[in-house]
Amino acid sequence: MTEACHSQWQYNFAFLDENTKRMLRRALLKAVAIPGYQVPFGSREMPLPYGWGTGGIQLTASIIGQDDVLKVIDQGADDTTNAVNIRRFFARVTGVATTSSTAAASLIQSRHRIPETPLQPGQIMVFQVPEPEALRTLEASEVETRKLHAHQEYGLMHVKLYEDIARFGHIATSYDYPVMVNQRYLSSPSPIPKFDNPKLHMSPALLLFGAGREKRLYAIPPHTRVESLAFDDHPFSVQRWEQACALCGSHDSYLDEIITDDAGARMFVCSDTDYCQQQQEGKA
Amino acid sequence: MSQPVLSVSGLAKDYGNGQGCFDIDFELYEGEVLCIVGESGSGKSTLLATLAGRLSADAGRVRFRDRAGSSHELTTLAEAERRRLARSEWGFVTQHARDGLRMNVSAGANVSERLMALGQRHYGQLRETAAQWLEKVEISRERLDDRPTAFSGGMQQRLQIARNLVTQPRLVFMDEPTGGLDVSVQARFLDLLRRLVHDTGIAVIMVTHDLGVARLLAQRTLVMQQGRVVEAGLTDQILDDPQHPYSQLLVSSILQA
Amino acid sequence: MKLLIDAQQLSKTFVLHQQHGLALPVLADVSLQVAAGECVALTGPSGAGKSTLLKALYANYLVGGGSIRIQHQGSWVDMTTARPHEIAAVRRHTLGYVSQFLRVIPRVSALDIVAEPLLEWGYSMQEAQQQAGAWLARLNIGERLWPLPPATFSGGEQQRVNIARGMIAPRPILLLDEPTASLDAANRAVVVELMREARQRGAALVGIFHDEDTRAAVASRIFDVPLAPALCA
Repeated sequence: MTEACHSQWQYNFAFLDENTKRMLRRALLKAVAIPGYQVPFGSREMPLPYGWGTGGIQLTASIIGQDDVLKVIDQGADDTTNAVNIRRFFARVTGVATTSSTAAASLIQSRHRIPETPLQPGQIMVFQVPEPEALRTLEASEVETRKLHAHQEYGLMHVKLYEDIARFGHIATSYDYPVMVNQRYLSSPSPIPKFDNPKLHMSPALLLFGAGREKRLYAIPPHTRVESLAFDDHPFSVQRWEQACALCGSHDSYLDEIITDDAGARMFVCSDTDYCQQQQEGKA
Repeated sequence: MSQPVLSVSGLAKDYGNGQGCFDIDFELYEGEVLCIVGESGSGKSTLLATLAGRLSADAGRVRFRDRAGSSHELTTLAEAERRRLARSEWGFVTQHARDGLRMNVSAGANVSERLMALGQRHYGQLRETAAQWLEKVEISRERLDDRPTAFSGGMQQRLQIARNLVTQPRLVFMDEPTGGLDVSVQARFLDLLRRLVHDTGIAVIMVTHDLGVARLLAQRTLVMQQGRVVEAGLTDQILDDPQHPYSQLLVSSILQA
Repeated sequence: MKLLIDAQQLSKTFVLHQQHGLALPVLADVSLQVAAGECVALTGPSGAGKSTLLKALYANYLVGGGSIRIQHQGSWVDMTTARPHEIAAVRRHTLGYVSQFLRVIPRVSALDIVAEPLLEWGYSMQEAQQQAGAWLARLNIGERLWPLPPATFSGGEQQRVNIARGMIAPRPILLLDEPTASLDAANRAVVVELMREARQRGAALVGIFHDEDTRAAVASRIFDVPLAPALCA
């Protein structure tokens, strides 16, 4: 469903001026050429403050075309406030078709989840990233982290994982779990649950990551090796639930825990709203 | 033992105001312990940092022979290569533990870090190796998960040694490692060093202002004054038969217990 | 017999820079040769340079002129021109030194102090400590003292630890500076016996013995170190 054409609001197509889009595309090309490498870019003033997805929005704005079909999700849901706002924003400034169906979308912008429905060749996912530097909590100096990436010195990240095991008996990181991209760069996959990490590996889709506040973007081209860090005797493992989705009965999706009343009753529901709906329709 | 581990010729680091180190020549062989002694401002720490590649040299050559027998010219080494050698072939023990340790991670992580950087990926084995090294430096393995902030100064320094020796380097640089320690703690630390040097056969270059430390640990000593080496030789010779006026001054200044 | 020490035309002058460059000549044109099986006793008046000569042979003192050649593992090494690591090798394998006083290393037990030279020779800890114990026992150091650091020992006990440490590894050459100075008659006799045994296994000994009886008992030859002619200051 489209709203009034962008010309009525006197914005350039997709809000950003053409030179900015060109700058972003150049940066994205470089990022695709060097999988996992953080490319600096000139982050523009957007109609949202930092911390609300400006990186993702700028990336989407630079590549969206008139024939695209856009899906926007926030923690897996199409119907949260943020997802609705961003989707409406792009509808207004591009007139491009939007959808909540993963299979029907050509361009998906996401905050902190990858859809359950497997991505197809030709699809592009844009991730909103708060902190692009996987080593930042361990090494505060930007100068030093750049050197570590340049020299492929990632012992520090393994120190963090070691500490987790020493303190908790297992690697405690459950989201934003660090990965090695193309066996070269250590990357943050954005705060997706580690449940979603395996979907990054050899994905047929193009995966783009934008951090507006930190002014970095990076990319994982299709069919790239993406391996989650682990130890030989503490291998990477994903979350599992005993419960199934209360709405569709799925045992395979990432479940949100929802408190339903003051007595503490709770139910588990798919985080991916589109997937859940598909499952329900499939059963009907 | 026929080829030196380190060959230094004409090395200089000039800060421009007369400070720095100049015309440094010496060779270091496997298993030798060399002390560089001098008072504050003598240039000894500058020399050590230049040898280890932490400061760029202004003149001269430093040739290092690694485990495999290959030679590297350290003054012209690319940063990536220098960092690789610094991880696996040599170590650096600093005067203050906080400069040489990660204070916010456990002792075990501190000791294992270099092994992990070199590609070791088995948590159980890393932990066991770290525990063994803690015991070698006389820290109970029960402290493996404690942070260095919970350690005494002497323990922190011993932890630094473990962190540096875990990759079995050929050469360890030490910058006044006993500087901040109490006398009794210092004695224990020096004994540990003696034992480790003896057991592992590593070469050591240690900067100290304390001739007693040199006497205890080093076969050889360089005496520095105002950036230059004024006397070099066997430690016992320099302490018992100093030739240079400044050496004689230093030796005569030692307080006898 | 095989020559082990060949020192030629040694000269040494101490220059005391702290005393305005005061020059003290101690050795002038001293030559000494020692063969295996000999025990040469250095004699001469106090200040003649006996101790200086002994320390120069060990490269503990530098000489101003001359050469000191030591027979080391089949070839001659000139201690006046050798590199530090070469001198260290000569000291480790060939040239032993028993000083007049024990230099106390803190916190190391008497047993370990005596065992250390054997550890350097590659002996196992068990073997080295066993032999160290035997040497200490022979020098009448009670077993109760073995685990203690010698800092609190009497002068005589310290010296006996020193002797054990200096002689335990059977080196071809031994230099001894007043080894019996603080010992009673019984222990002097033990040390004399130890030195005889060293000579018998073919070692060359050079020593300073102020005690005339000891000197007579051990020395095969006397070498009188001449007083250096005084130079104008």
